[in-house]
Amino acid sequence: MSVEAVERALERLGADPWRAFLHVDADGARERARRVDPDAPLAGLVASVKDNLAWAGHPMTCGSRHLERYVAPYTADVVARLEAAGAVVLGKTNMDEFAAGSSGENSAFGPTLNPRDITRVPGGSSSGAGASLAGGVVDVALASDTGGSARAPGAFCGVAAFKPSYGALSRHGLADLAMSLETPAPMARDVPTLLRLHRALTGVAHVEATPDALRIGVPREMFEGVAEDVERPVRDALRRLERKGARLVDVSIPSLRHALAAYYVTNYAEFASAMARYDGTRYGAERAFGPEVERRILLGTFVTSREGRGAWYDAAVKARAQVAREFSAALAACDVFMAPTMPMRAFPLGERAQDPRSMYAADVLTVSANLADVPAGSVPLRVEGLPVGLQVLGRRGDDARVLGAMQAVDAA
Amino acid sequence: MTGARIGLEVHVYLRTRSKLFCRCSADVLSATRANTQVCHVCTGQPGAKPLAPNRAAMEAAVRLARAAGSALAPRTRFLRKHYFYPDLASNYQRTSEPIATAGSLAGCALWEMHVEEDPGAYDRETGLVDYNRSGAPLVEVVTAPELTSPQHARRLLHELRLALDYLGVGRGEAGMKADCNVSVDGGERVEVKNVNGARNVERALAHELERQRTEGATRETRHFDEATGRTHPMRAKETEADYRYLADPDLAPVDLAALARSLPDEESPFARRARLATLAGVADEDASPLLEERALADLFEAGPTRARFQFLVRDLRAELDYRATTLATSGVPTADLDALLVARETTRITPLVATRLLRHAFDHRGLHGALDDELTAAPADDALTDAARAALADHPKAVADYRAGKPSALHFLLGQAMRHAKGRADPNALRDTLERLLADP
Repeated sequence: MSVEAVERALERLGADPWRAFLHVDADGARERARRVDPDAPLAGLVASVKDNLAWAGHPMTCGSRHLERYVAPYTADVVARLEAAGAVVLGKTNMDEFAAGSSGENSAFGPTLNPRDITRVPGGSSSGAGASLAGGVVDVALASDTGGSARAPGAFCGVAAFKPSYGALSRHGLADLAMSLETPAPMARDVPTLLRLHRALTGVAHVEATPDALRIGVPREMFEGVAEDVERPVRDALRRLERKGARLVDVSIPSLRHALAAYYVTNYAEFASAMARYDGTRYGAERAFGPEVERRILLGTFVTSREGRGAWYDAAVKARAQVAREFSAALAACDVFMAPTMPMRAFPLGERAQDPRSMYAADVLTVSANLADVPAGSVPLRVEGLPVGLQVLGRRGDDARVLGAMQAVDAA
Repeated sequence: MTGARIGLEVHVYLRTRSKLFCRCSADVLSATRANTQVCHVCTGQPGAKPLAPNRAAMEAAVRLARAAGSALAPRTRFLRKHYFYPDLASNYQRTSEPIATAGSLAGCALWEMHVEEDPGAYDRETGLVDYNRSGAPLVEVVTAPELTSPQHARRLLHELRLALDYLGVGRGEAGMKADCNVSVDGGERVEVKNVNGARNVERALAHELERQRTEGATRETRHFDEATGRTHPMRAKETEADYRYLADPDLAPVDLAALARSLPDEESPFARRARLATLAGVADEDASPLLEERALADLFEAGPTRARFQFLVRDLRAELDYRATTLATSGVPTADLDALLVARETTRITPLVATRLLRHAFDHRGLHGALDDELTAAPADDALTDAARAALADHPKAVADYRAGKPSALHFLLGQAMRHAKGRADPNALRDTLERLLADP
């Protein structure tokens, strides 16, 4: 079963017209497929792994020239679990360099294209993960989510993505970007497959959610500035749940307006620390970072320096705590929040690449889950044209309920 | 004239099985080949995450803090101290916020203690880095600038080492390093970096004080050359480095209060030393050898007499030093030593035999019945009397001399009596017996 699945995947991939993969281990995958236990929970599924997760003996470039020749000497915990559960890993997927990006255009090895429309971005930073699923190559993908890095490609590529609560999945083997924000994130071609993957990785099943018992918080601020062709299908989906008995609760989280700034300052600060080891003497010999990576190192160094710290990093830490407090308070009155995942549909390649602020703005709806450390998933809605993702957020540690609610959205 | 003001930042290894954030062996000083005690965590491979701080290391540091009478912090976070150097695997060093403040050592107030990871070792000649040490647990002790002389500094380092050895968490002198801040007569402060061991600290400070008194001082960092015993300028200290400390997002704070509660109450080594010194009737400092191993202090306290004290700090110490071992590693059961000491103190064996048995114990990792054999062979009180009577009977002239007021005759009689006792009698007991018989025949 796995053997045929790998052949089908390789056939679908062909010459990889989307630049989804940075490394394909075809022969290895065929070999591993032969050894899969047919009773394993993920037997028959083919997987891709984002190139910032360690997979022993295979390249780990993090989308950067700096690590072009680096081969991981160990395997990330989450990859080990994926393989132990019977999924066959086909290869490593493209990504924004060191996960610094929202569109998939910042990879040193060329931008990933969106299989739904190759003139548009697939979303990032887990661009290759999204494309490997949307292109029909693999069934499941391991990615990571620091501020929406799995949910954004989930929404833009029309696949399912989930950011677990911090700590639910081991981060050991996930290359550092912003350590307090990021977590490995499972993605799948659809919601049922995502639930299966999540269960295999964590041992925890989702909690079935019947719509008539569901109290759905609808945060006002998460609909501000959202494109009409995103808001409409999301509101339609909410109405369908309401008709099935779910209660919609209007909630407000005022500090969300500061979330984007707090997120980026925190991200820069931790990023600069994480990147210190790539000093040109240990890994790549040359200074070979893209402009976004350089920008974040410089800004991160500044916001944690003696002169910049008080106004920036310390302020961001406070704002983050405020977002987390307001999130918990608002979530106390409902089971989950629902909102759009991205404020727009997949935009054309190059449209925002020159303006970091307009690129950052695309993350406005996803970063708060990482700041507040709550689980959040993106469900692909059935729409005409380019995909739209509906985001489900829940209480910290309540991952099973968020997944259950994602299933309810998918079924409605 | 305010004289010398000296403050130390001392780094010492904590003896734990594993490193601070990974499972690699922390016995890094005995490694014979470079990069053989490393893993993806302590070499900072992309994505490798630290394990939670080694509990044994945190416990050791907490116990040291208690020993110095420091005030324990309720919790501590590990911070990333950023600087670029080839021996730092990730170009940041993980160092804790103070785990304790205040306290004192050798009469010098302490400011604070930290737990931190050792960097690797960089060889400037070859440009190679050995990461064996990377991640080994260290404790840093920062003193107030209250040390008044190089000898005082050395004494503080001895006291620190003594506390670590007594608690069983030190690695001796090995790897003890100090940054020495020194000024004289209210002049500028000079920092002498990275001086190895107590003796070199004393030498470096002595040289630096002399130099500052003759040349004057400017604010700078200097290096101590062990070969010449002189300090040399390293760099002028114009601005404080900005290490951009960041609470390590990979590590949860350590609950020191809970950790301290889980540890048994124990008497501070220094309090115990004072108590034992009184029992032995010696000065505080003279009882220090008893702290070198807790087992020594325990052995003394099992029968706290002057004689036992002397035996432990002289005979036993000499034996341990000769064999370059410790009581713990020698494999000699302390119960055996205690039995040996009891037999000696009750004069059932002679000091000579005691020394012989001590060597036997170290040769054979225990007495294994040797003491019992000796006790059955040793003359009983009756036998002492018999030997004494025989000597008196054989030498009436010596008896007469003694009674005529020649005390030296007793030495002769003692030697003769000892011959009759085949050398196994306790000389003091035998002398007592002789004197008793001579006074009252």
